[in-house]
Amino acid sequence: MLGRESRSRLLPLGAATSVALGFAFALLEPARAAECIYCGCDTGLGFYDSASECTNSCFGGLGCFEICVPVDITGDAPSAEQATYQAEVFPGLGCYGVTGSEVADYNCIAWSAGSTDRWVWWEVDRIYGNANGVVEVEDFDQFYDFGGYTTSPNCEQQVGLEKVALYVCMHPDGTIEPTHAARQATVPGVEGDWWESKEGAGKQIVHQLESLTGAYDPAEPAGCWGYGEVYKCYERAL
Amino acid sequence: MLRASPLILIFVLAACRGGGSDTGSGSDTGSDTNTSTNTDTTEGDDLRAEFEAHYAAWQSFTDTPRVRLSSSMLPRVSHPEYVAMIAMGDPAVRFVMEKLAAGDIAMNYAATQMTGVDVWADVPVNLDWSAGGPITSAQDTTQLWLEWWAVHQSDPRWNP
Repeated sequence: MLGRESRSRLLPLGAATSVALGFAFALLEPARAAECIYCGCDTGLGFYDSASECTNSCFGGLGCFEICVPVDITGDAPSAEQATYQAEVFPGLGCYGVTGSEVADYNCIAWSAGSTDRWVWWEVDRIYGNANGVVEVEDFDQFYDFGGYTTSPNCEQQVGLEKVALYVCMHPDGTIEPTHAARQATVPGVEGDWWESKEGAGKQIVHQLESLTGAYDPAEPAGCWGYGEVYKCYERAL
Repeated sequence: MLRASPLILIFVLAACRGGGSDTGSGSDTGSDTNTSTNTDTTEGDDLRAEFEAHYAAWQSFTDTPRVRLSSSMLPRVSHPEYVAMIAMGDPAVRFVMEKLAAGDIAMNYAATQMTGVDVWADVPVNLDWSAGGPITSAQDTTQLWLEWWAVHQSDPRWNP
């Protein structure tokens, strides 16, 4: 288990962005580097298990970027293999922080509704939706309606509101296939548009809204890379 | 609240001998499971072996990162090996129930497809979760299947 004092994780961004961000963070918030457990580098050097290695690597002239997300990590430290497959599945993942262990007890839909002990998928259609055997966006509209949510005009953070984002895979034949839900989150000490997701049977992470998206690809088991695209958001009063 | 009857718990204990997975994403294949149903025949053994072969191949698929990190059950249940399990029909329902008893909630869909039964048909559900109440889950659906099986497992349809 990781200690609770330094919990961060970094993954590679695009080269230009990385260099720019690296300089920006180095200049503006150099102290934040010391909080890193993991960092990513454009040189593909991978992941490091100590703050000193992270700092030395990312600020050692290797062209690394540095972003730290000081979130509370409750799970085990991810292995290099896990980090790699995260990046494979979500090519635009960028910076994220792990907030929960890899368990199959609950999934993103349950998490979006505040539960960490159940898996919800077909039930969105059969119990809360139109029970036609297909999980559709309309079923999610009803599901979140029963949770007190309405469709939000946007996915932006707004004081007094909590929001849930619904991701879908848009198929060429026009089918809109729901794939994922994320819950708006805050990361203490770090400004930004943060969201929190349970990745299927994987980990729970904080991330940027668009960082789990990906294009349609018929070769993908789920139809799209990542979770497809952000289709809509729901909101309710805090 | 759904509760397991003692009969179900006995069944679960028997069926869990081979382990199992949750969302088709881990642990072993339960290939050495054995229950009190009338499968102690060569034909029954062949059926079990065929089912377990499909299940093992399907689990290999569900263990891949892209499937494991998916919350949607659609990629799981549309895989050819999963479809093959469903296609085995009535004689394989007992194997599906064993997997459910072992905690593999991904088999809920197979149970529905193979039996044509809607286990939620007569079950009252509190839909409102706005005040923090529990949402209905796949685990609830699995529990209903196990209760249904406790009542119907001796039906000749499932024991040809």
